[in-house]
Amino acid sequence: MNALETLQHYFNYHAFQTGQRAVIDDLNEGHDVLLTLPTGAGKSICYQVPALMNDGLTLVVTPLLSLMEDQVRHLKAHGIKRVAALNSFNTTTERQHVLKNLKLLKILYISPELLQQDWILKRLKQLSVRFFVVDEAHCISQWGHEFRPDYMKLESVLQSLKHPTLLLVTATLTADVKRDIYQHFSSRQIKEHLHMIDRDNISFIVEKCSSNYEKDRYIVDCLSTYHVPTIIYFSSKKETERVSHYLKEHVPTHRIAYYHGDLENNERMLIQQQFLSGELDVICATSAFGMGVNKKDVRLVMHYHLPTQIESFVQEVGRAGRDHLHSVSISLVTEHDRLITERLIEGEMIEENVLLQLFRLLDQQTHLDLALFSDTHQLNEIHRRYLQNYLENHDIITDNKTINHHKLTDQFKDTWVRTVTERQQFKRKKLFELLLALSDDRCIRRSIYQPFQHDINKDRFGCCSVCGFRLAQFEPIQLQTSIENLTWEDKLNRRIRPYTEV
Amino acid sequence: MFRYLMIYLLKTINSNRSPAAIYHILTGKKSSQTIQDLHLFQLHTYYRLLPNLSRQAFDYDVDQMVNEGLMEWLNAKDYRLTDKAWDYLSTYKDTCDEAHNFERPIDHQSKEIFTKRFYLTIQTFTQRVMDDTGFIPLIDDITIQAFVKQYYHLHKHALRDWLEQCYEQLYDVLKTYPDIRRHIYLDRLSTANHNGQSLQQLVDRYHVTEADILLTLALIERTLFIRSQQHQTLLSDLLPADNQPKIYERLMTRSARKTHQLVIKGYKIEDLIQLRQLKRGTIEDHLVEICMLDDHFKLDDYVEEEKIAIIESYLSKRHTQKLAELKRTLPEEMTYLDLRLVFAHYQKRLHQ
Ligand SMILES: [Zn+2]
Repeated sequence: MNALETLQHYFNYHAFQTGQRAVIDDLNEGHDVLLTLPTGAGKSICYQVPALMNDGLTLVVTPLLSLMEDQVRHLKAHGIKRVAALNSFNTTTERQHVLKNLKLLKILYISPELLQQDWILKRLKQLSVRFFVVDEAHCISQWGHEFRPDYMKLESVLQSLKHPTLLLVTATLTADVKRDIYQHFSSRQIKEHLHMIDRDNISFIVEKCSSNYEKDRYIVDCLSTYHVPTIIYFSSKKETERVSHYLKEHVPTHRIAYYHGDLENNERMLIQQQFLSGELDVICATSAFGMGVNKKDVRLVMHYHLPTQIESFVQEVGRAGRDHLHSVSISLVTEHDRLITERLIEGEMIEENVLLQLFRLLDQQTHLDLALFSDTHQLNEIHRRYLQNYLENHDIITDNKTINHHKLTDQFKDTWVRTVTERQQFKRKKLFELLLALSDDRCIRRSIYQPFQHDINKDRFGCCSVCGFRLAQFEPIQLQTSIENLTWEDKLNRRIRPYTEV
Repeated sequence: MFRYLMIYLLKTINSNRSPAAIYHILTGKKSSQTIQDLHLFQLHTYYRLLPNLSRQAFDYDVDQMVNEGLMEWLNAKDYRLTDKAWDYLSTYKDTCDEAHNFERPIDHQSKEIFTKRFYLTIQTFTQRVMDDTGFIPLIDDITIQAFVKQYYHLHKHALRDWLEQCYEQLYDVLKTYPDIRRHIYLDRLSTANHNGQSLQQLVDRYHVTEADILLTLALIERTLFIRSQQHQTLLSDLLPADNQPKIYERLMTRSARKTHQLVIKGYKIEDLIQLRQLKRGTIEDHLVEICMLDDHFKLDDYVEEEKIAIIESYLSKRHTQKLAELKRTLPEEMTYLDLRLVFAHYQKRLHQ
C-alpha cells in the first residue's frame, strides 16, 4: 500500500491535510524531520501512516499519559490492534502483557521516564525500531514552557537503538527551543517542516476586570448570551470548583462541570467524554484539561487566569474552532494577575539556596540520598528528577548514589547556579511577554503568534479587541440542550434500549 | 443512607474501636486488626462493601455526624453516639433496612469482576446496537475487556434480545429501590448517547455525600450479583468461573497465607517457626487468624484434647471475652496460645 491507500484503508480519510504528505515521504526515505503543526492539524497521521507502511516498530515518546491512552484507543477503534502504551500507570498484568507481545507491535507509545529503565531499554534494543518519534519535542529545551528533565536523555537512548529515523513534533517552536533541539541532536541531519500555527478563525478579546466578582459576572453575562461549547481556564483548582458552582446557579440552562488534576482518573475521563460527546456545555478547568482532547466545535475559550507564558496560551486557545468556524478567545485580566502568576513561577523553580544546600551535602558525603534530600527540602517529583538527571549527566553521581568528588568543581557549581538563576529570569521574561502581548496597545493576534513565525494569516471573522472586534459580532450557532429530566423508567429505557428512541 | 449505615456500624463496634476501624472494614483493608474486628463484631457482610471509598469522603461524613449532633468526640480517638443517633436508627429502620440487612457475606472479588463485566457489556452492547464502534471503553482492565469481547461475539447477532432481557432484569431490581437511588444508578451508567456522571456531579445533583453515592451503587450492584448467583439469569454468564482460592484465603494477610499452606500439610508449631523463619509470636498470631478463617482447621493438631474440653466447658458456663480472666482462673499449664485458639474456635462455631 502507498501512503494514500494506507490513509484511506486505516483511517477513512479521503486525502491528506496540509503538510502531512511531505513529512511522510521524507520519513519513508529515512530523513530525520522536525515538524511544527498547529494543534489538531493531524500530526499523529504523520507517523502513524509510515509506521503502518514499513517493517519494524515505531516508538512514540510522549509525556502526556491521557494522549497516550486516547491514541491507543483511537487506533484500536480503527481496527489497528498492534499498538500499546507503556507508562508508570500500567498495572503489572498490563505491562507484562505488553512486554510479552513486544515483537508483534507496530506502534508503541512510551513515557520518557520508562524509556530510561534499563530493563525496558534492553528489550527495545533487541527489536528493529524503524521510527523514533518525539512528541512535544519542546520539552527537550530548558527554555521550553514544559521542560521535562527526562527528555535530556533521549539522544543517548536514540544512539543505543539500531538507527531509527527521527521525527520531532511540536506545536510551539520558538527560536530558543529550536536552538536547543539542534544542539541536543547535533549528530543528526534534520529536515524542517515548519508550518504556520496561527488560527485565522479565532478572534481575541482582552477584558479588563477589577475583581474576581467582576470576572464571575462577566462570564455569567457572556454565557447567558452564548450557549456554546466553552472551556474556561484557571490556574487554581479551587477556583474551578467555586466558579463552576457559581455558574450552575446563575446560568441554570447550561450543563457545567469542573476538571482538574486532583480528580480520580476515571472521574476525569467521564467528564472529558461528556464534554467530547456534547453532554456538557461548559468546563471550568486547569491546564490539565485539553491535552489530547480533540473536540471540533469548541466556540469559546476563556482565561479566568492567565498561564505563565505565550506557548501555553496559544496551546489552550488552539482548542477552539478546530472545525474552522468562527470562535472567540476571551482573556479576563486584573491588575494583580501578574502577582498570582509570579507566585506560580516561583513554585515551578528550584531555588538557588536549595542548590547551595545540595552542594554542601555533596561535599560532605560519599553517597547521596536524593529522596531524603528532596523530602527535607519539600521538592516535588519534577524537581527531584531534574536534580538527579543533572547530576548524572555531569557524572557527579554514578550507580545512582556514589559521589565523584573530583568532578565537583567550583566551576561546575557556579555554572549550575547561573543556569538556575538565568532560567528564573527567563521565566519572568516569558510572563512579561505574555502580559505585554495582552496589553491593549498592539494587535493581540500578531503579538501572541509572533514568537513562532514572522508572518500571520489574515483573520477570517474579525481580528482582536485592539483592532476593533467586539463580542457582539460573534454569532455562532447556539446549542439547544437542556438538563435531562426524566422518570426513572424513561431513563432506564433510554440507557438500555437506545434503539427505541429514534 | 450512608448515615444510617454509619450509626449502625458505630453502634455495633460499641466504642471499642475508633471510627477508622469501620473505614478499614468498608474498604476491605487486609490487616490482622481488621480481620479480627470482622470476627469480634460479626461484620463479615460489610467487608469491602465500598472498596473505592476515599478516606476524605469517609471523614467528611464523620464530621457531618458530629456537626449534626449524632455523635461526640470524647478525646482524639474515642467517641460516643448521642441519643439523637439512637432516635435516628429507629426512625429510619424501615426505610434504610436494606443497608444493614445482608444475609451472608459475598465473595467480593467475584462481585467486582462481575460488576465491571456488566458495566462494560452494557456500554459495548448499546454502542454496537447503535452501530457505533469508536467508543472509549469505560473499563481499562484488559482482562475484563478480553472477556467482554468474547461475550460480544457470542451475542452479536442478537444484541437487541440481550438488551431487552437486561432491561427486564434491571427493571425488576430497580423498582424495589427508592427513586433517588435508581436515578443515581442510571445516571452513573455509561451507554450509547450517555456517558456516566462523575461522582462529584452526582453529589451536586442529588445533594448527598460521595459515600452515599458509592453505597447506592454498591447496594444495587450487590443485588444484581446475588440474583445472578442464586438463579440462572441472563447475567449469570458474567460471573467469574469458580477457580479462585476460597474466600477465607483471600481475607488472610499474605504472610498468614504462607503459613496456612504449611498448616494444611500438618506441620506443628515448632516446624512452622523453623520453616517460616519467623518469631514464635508471629506464628501464633497466624495460627489464630487461620483458626478463625479456615473451617477445616484442625484444632487438636495444636491443642491437646483434654485442654480443649476444659477450656470449652469453662467458656460455656461463663460468657467471658477476657483472655486474662481465663488465664487467671484455669490451670496453669494452659498457655496463652491454647486459650486464644480454643477461644477463636469456640467463637467461630458459636456464629455458624
Ligand atoms: Zn488584531
